[in-house]
Parts: sequence; C-alpha cells; structure tokens
Amino acid sequence: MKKFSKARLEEALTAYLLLSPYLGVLVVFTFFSIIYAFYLSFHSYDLLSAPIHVGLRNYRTLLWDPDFRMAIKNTCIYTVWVVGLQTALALLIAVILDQKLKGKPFFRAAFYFPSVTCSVVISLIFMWMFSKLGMINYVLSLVKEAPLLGWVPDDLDWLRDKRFALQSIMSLNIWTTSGTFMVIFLAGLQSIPETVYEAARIDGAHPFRVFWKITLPLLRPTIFFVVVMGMIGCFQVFDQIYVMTNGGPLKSTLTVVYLIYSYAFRDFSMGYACAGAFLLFAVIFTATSLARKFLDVEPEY
Amino acid sequence: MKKNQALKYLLYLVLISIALLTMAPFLVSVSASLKPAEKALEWPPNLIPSPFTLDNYAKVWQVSPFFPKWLVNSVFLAIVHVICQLLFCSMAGYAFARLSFPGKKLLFLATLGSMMIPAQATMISNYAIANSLGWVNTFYAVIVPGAAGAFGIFLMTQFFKGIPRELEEAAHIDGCSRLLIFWRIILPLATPALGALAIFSFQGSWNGFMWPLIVLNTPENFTLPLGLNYFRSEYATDWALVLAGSMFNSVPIILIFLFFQRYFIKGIATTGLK
Amino acid sequence: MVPEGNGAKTGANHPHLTSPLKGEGLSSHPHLTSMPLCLFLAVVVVFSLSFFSIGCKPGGARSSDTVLRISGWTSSPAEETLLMECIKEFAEKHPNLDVRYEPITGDYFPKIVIQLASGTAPDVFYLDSKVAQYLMAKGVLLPMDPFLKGSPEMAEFIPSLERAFSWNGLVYGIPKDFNTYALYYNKRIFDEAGIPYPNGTWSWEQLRETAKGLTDTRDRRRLRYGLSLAEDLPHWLPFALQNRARILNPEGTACVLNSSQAVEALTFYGDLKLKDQSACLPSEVGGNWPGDAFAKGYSAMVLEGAWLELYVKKSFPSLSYGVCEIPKGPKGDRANLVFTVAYVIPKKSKHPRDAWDLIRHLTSLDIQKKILHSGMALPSRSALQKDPYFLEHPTSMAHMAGASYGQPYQFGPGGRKMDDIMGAAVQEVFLSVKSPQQALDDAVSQINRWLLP
Repeated sequence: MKKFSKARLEEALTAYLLLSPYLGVLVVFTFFSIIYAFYLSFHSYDLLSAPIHVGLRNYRTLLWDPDFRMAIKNTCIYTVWVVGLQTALALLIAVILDQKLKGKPFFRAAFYFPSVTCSVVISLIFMWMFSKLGMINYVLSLVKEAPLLGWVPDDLDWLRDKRFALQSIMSLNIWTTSGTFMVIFLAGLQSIPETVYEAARIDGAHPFRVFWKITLPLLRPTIFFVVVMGMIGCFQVFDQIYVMTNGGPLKSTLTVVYLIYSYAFRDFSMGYACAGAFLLFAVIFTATSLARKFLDVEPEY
Repeated sequence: MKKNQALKYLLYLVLISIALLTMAPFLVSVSASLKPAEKALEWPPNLIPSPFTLDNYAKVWQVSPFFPKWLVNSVFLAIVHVICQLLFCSMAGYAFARLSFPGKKLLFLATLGSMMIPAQATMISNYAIANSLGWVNTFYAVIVPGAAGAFGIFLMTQFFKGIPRELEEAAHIDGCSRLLIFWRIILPLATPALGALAIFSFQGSWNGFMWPLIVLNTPENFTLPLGLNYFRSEYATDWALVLAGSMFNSVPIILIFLFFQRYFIKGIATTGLK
Repeated sequence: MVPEGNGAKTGANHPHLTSPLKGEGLSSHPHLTSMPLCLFLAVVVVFSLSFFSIGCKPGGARSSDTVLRISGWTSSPAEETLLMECIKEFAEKHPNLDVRYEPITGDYFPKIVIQLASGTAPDVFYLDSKVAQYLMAKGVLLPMDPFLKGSPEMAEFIPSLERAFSWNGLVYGIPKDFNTYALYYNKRIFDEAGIPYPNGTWSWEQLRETAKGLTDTRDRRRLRYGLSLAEDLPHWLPFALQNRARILNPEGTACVLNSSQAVEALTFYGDLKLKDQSACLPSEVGGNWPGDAFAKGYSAMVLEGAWLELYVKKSFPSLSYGVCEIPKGPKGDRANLVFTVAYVIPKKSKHPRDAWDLIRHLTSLDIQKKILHSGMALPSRSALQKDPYFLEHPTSMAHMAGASYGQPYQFGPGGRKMDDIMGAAVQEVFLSVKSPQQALDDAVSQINRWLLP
C-alpha cells in the first residue's frame, strides 16, 4: 500500500513538474489577469497613480457613452454583414469543391492562403488598393464602361469616405476569412457519409433538393459553429482598423476593441477600458458557451 | 449527361474566378513592389512591372535604420515562441493525457475555460502586470504570456491519448521514469502533432500584432508587423516601398503554408481555427 | 480568432471530426533516442535562462559616463538640427555627461506616459501645455523650485507661459517657446477686392462682413472664400473666450463650455460657413488644414499660429500676406490661446541636477535668441519681447502680442480629452447634425466624465 501511494505521489509530482511552466502562465496571465481586470473595472486607474475605487461608475457611464454606442453599432453592422457574406461564400465554395472536380488541392490552397497572411500586410495591401488612384477605382472605371453600369462610382477615396470606409474594411475581412471557413465546411461536407447521398440518388432527387433537404440539415452544426466563430472574430476586429483608419473618418469605423484600446492606451483610462472589455467579454463568453453547449465538444474526461 | 458537363464547366468558371479574386490583391502588390516608386499608383495600373526593378527591396533596407532589426526581432521572437510552445504544451499535454494527479479535472476545466476569455479582456490587466514586472518594451512581455496556451495543450493531449499505452507500459516495467518515457518514447512519436503546433505557433507569433503593439514601444524593439505599420506612417506616399517591405513578412509565411499545407488544412479542420 | 490570453491561436474542437493527426504518427516507428534525461532538463533550463539574457534589454552597453536622455518630437528637420546643435554645445561643456537625444515618433504623449509609468522616462522631455496639468497633478514630475532659487535668471519668462506649467504654487516646467493665433490675410485678394487690410482692432462684425465681401464662388475653378475654418476646438475657442465664455467652473470640476456665451460664439463661428457661406473647410478646397487652404489662395484670411509663416516661407514663398492680431469680442474683449511647450524632468529621474543644467542651457537667453533669429519659434523669455528681430519681422509681433492676453491651451488635470470631444461637437455643427446648443450640451456631459478623478 505504501509503495502504491509513493508511486502515486511520484506521478503527481511528475505531472506538476511537467505542468509547471504552463500553470505559471495560466495563473498569472489568464486567471489573475482576468480577476485584476474585473477589479480595475470598478476603479479609475491610469498607471501613474494607485487605482481609485469608483463603484459602478465606469459601467454606468459606458452605457451612456456616445462613442461606445457608436462602436457597438459599427461592430454590429460589421458583424452582420461579414458573418452573413463570408458564411454564404464559404459554403458555396465548399459545396462546389466537394463535387468531384479536378484541381481541388489547388483551389483549396488558393482560397485559404489569405488567412495565413499577416493582418497588417493585408491591411496595407488593401489600403493601397482602396486609395484614390488604386486598383479598386481602376476596376470600377472599367466596369463603368459597360452598359447600364454608368452609375458605378470610380473616384472615391474609399477609406476616407465615411459612407464606405467600414464597408471597405468588411470586404477585406470577408476576403481574408472566407477561405478558413470554407475549409471547415469542406471537412463538414466530407464527414457526411456517402450512403446518405446514395439513397437520395436512387430516389432520383434533384441535386438542389438533395442539398436543401439532406446536406444543409446535416451541416447545421458546422454552420452554427462557423457563424459563432465568425461572430467572435468580428467582435474582436482591431488590426485592420488600427492600420487603415484609426476609427475614422468621423468615427465611422470605430469598433469596440479599437475604442477599448484607445481608452486604455491613448487616454490611459484603464479602469474604464476594462469595463468596456468586460462587457465585450460577457458577449463573447456567452457566444462561446452557447457554441459549446450546442455542439457538445468538450473532450470526454 | 450533356447538361452535367455544362454545369461542371460553370462550376470551374466560378471557382477560377473566385481563385483569381483571392489571389489578385497579393499578385498586384507583388507586381507593384517591383515597379519604380512613382509607378505604384500609375493609371491605368500595369500588371507586368515595366520597367522591372528590385530597387524597392534594396531601398527598404537602407531607408529605415530599423528594418533589419525588425526582421531579426520577428525571427527571434517566433523561434522562441515555437520552442516554448512545443516544449511546454507537450509537457502539459502529456500530463493531462497520461498521468493521474489530484486536481487534474479542475485544471483541465480551467484550461478549457481559459479559451473562452478573449485576449481583449485581459490585455489591459496584462499590460499592467507586465508594467509592474518591468517588462514593458522588452521581449519578456511578448514571450512569457504566450509561452504556453490552451490550443497547443489540447492538440498535444488529444494526440498523446491516441498513442497506445502498451509502448510506455513496457518501458515503465523496465523501470524507466515518467520523464524519460516522455522524452524518449512519447515525444519522438508525436512529431506530426509537434509539427502542426510548430507551424501554428510560428504563424501566431510571426503575424501577431495587437499584443506586441501594446507592449513594444520603441522602433528598435518592433516586430515586423509593427514595423511595417510604422513604416507606412513614415513613408505613406511610397507605396512600392511599403509593399516591398510587406513581402518580407508575407513571403516566408506563404512559403511555409505551401510546403506544409496539409498541417494547416487539417489543423484548421480539427480545431476550426487558424 | 478565438480568445486566449496572449492573442495566439486557440481552438474549439470541431464536432464532426476526429483528430486528423491521429494515426498519422503512429505509422512511424518509435525510434528511441539515446538522449539522456538530463539533456531534456538542460534544454528547459537553457531556455528559461535565455529569457533572461538574450535581447531583452534595450539600450545596450553603457559607458561609465552618466547618461542623460532627452526626448521630444520633431516638427521639422531644421528644428531638430538646431536642437542637436544646442545639445552638442552643452555636451562639450559637460564632458562627464553622455547626452542622448531620443526623439519620439508617433503618438507622443501616450508614449511618454508609458515611460513614466514604467520608470523609463527620459531625464528631460518636451511637454505640451495641453496635457501639462494632468502630469503635474499626478505628481510624476519634479518640482523645479529648489533649482530656481539658485538661478534667478530662470525666472524671466512670459507670465502666461509660466502659468501653464505651475501647479499648486510649484513650477514643473521651463517653457521653451510658444505660439498664439493671429489673423493672416492675403494682400492680393484684398487689393483686388479694393478692401482695406484688417488691423488688430477688428470686431467680429467687421470680420464677418469683410469675409462676405471677399467671397467669390461663382467660378468653380477659382473658388475664393473670405475665411478658412477648421472643425476643431482650438480654432473656435478664441471666439468663445472673446465672448467671455468660461471653459471650466471655478473649482475645475465641471466643464461649462455650453453657456450662452459659448453657444453664441459657436453659432457665430458656424454661421460664417453655414449661413454666410463665406468660409470654407480646408477639405472642400483641397487643403489639409486651414493655413494650407489660405496659402493656396482659397481663402483671404485665416486664424493661425506662427507655424503658418514657416509653412508659407517653405512652400509658397511668393505669397504676399500680412498678419495682425485677431479680432476682439462683441464687448471689446481681447482673448487668445497660448500654445506652449516646456522642458520638464520626471520625478524618477536619476540625474535631476544634470537634467536641470541641460534645461538651463536650452532655455538660456543666448539659445532663445538663436531660435528667434532662425525664425523657428517665438522665444519664451520676456527679455526677448523687445528684440530688434521684431522690427525686421513685424509679422511676428502679432503673435507676440497675443501672449500678453492669451490663456494657455489647457483645461485642468482631467481635460486631456477636451479637444477630441469638443472638436467632434464643432464638426457636428458644421455638418448641421446638431444645433450649437445641442452639440455643446452633449460634449460637456461627455467631458465631465473625464474630469472626474
């Protein structure tokens, strides 16, 4: 018995030894950090002097802060459009690729590669393309020549125009992430057993009907997953905004994370920014837990 | 049958046009980076750079005193990040997959939970922590918080669980200690998982922007993405130069992607994430 | 994309798929490495140590000299060269010091705050009046009073500038230079219209009527407006002050810039464009800032600081223009803004004495004179107000005069967001989204939040 428990002890010690670097990071930079952030959200803190307790003031003012409201509005518009379009596009490409077509690896790589590239680089490339003398306006000026398309604008300064700046960044995001989700859809499609389709084929069902009645329902968990992941990604959009527009023009591209960043690191209103971050956290946490609940992905233990 | 054939061509057409659309921005920027500065915004834009020049690539190195430093910083941080991730995540993953110890379930749940905390919720307090440790504007602040993470641990745990126990048990009976088993039997078996993790960690570090932006403040400490953003603000009008600089960041990662595509695609399909 | 502490990649597992990696590695044979355990541990140790040795410390090797760091921003290469010269002069007199100039690019103030918070701030740095009160009230700057006692020559600065860097009776900064607004006018446009040049005694009405008379927008290719305005706080604020509006309440706890006087002033300012159509925004005519639109000939007049003179000298040397003091308010009040920058020392500086000597050198009469004669900035020393330079350069006189009745551009310790928020309010008025009253009310309630501790 004693030997057994000694072995157990040894095993436990080994385990903790192996875990120790990770635990250090987890405890300090995740758990302590989140508690500290929560604590700060009830304080006024600017790095230069000790935090002052202000109760719920940060949260209260935040809810009435016009900039924060603007940021939420922009972020929601952004999320709805980006998630909607990228999910549809990703699904479309995945379904096409899932047909027995040649060159699948090539296409898959071609669609996926934007998402391995750095967001800053993509932002720079798009900034250049969206500039007044850039590629986008050039392509539009060609399109304009076509009959009935004379109304197409081709001399916009996209990122400095408050009507189009956010849309321009949306297009960038869709371009970047559709490929990622396409790969997930493709995996989802391939996990649907062939026998399901065979049965339908014997019945002589039309391919669109098969897609609508069989593929889509079976793919529902994947779609749900893609939508939730897409939403989370959109809530967190920052890099593109920081590089391309700094929230402008006229706050038309001000998003929640960008606002939190600038409250924290431009205005040094750390507590206030933490309150904003916590509201964002609540939203994302809810989204992720919902995703987990619906999908039941926790590894068995 | 004929209808089917037509449909097939239509599908190819759709695929090819979308593929062109996805690759176009990158291709045109490569082409622009090979043009003389004043041609980067020429109208109409020429796809084939003429005159063709590599000047921008040479100029990038001379124009900013920091550019080589950024590249070195990025490479250094990526390597350290990859090594830390491989080592610490496989260590933790092994403990979770094979060893039994008190608090295991709780820790695993905690790891799960930590994945639900967005980086933005902790970035401010992490900055404050880094500040009180005196790490602001040093590489510690970039390296340490990212030294191990839930994603890598899951990847490794899952993989280790798939390895038959018999292999270890034999060694265990031979009197090998757990650490030795881990090092000599398990790790060599885990090469595919380690490879995937290495690639994902490299990508994360190489492309990382927000956290380095927060903790690194002076140009000599910047990583390449920060440097490129800084570069753009300094040489806003010289797009050919900015795009040439960007290639130093994107070409390596795209090459890695092309070589190790399998890992990327599979990793993403498993985890649902890049 | 999904959350994790460090922003690296994370994952949630996908429902349908088993691990694709499973089985891949298993086909390879378990080649047992001969590497002993100690090697493994050694690797761990080496990497933990490497954190503490490699490349983590910026700055590099130190010489045995005392390192004195000075930071600022660069507004022009010429200015930087001049500063470097002055620093070099100082360094030659103090061979024991290794003086390093570390200019900060990008967002200056946030970077300074970060350095102050981490205790790595330079020993001497520029501080703009706008944010000075915030840092002074925080107690992170070194009061200079003990040093001032021993250097009587350091007390001879223009009072409104000194005021900008005093807090609770202590002095925290020595002003290096300053700027105020003056009215610039394009002589050619006035001559063509046959209207007499403005002078320093103008009232609002005269400004308004003249602007109307000078506006000519019939030819779309040759637009000309009476004035060019900016949608920001500093260009509008002088009008509010001339109308006796107050910015903060006497206790400094609340913004009162939505008083009837302020609303009147904003209405006047907005009407110049909205009602009279005699003013333009720079963006409408292809200018980057009001002075730019003026220099390009789109507007006959503009309110700008002396920086416009430098810009014109460099980019539009043939422009013939005059400068006078800005108009008086409806009740004859004079008001102006003083933009000033000081040298300050952080409380945590390890070499306050040397830092003080450097500041004393950089703000000495000699160097101030040199800067004045280079035409780069207006000197902060009162002794130079009557320098012969002004006889040769009467245009600078108007700016100099502004200092006597101007008030520093600053709004208390919590006022650093004032110009963002108020700027947005002015913008809303120009876009006719809100009435001046509504815009100011909204801005004030937003500002009040930042005024709280």
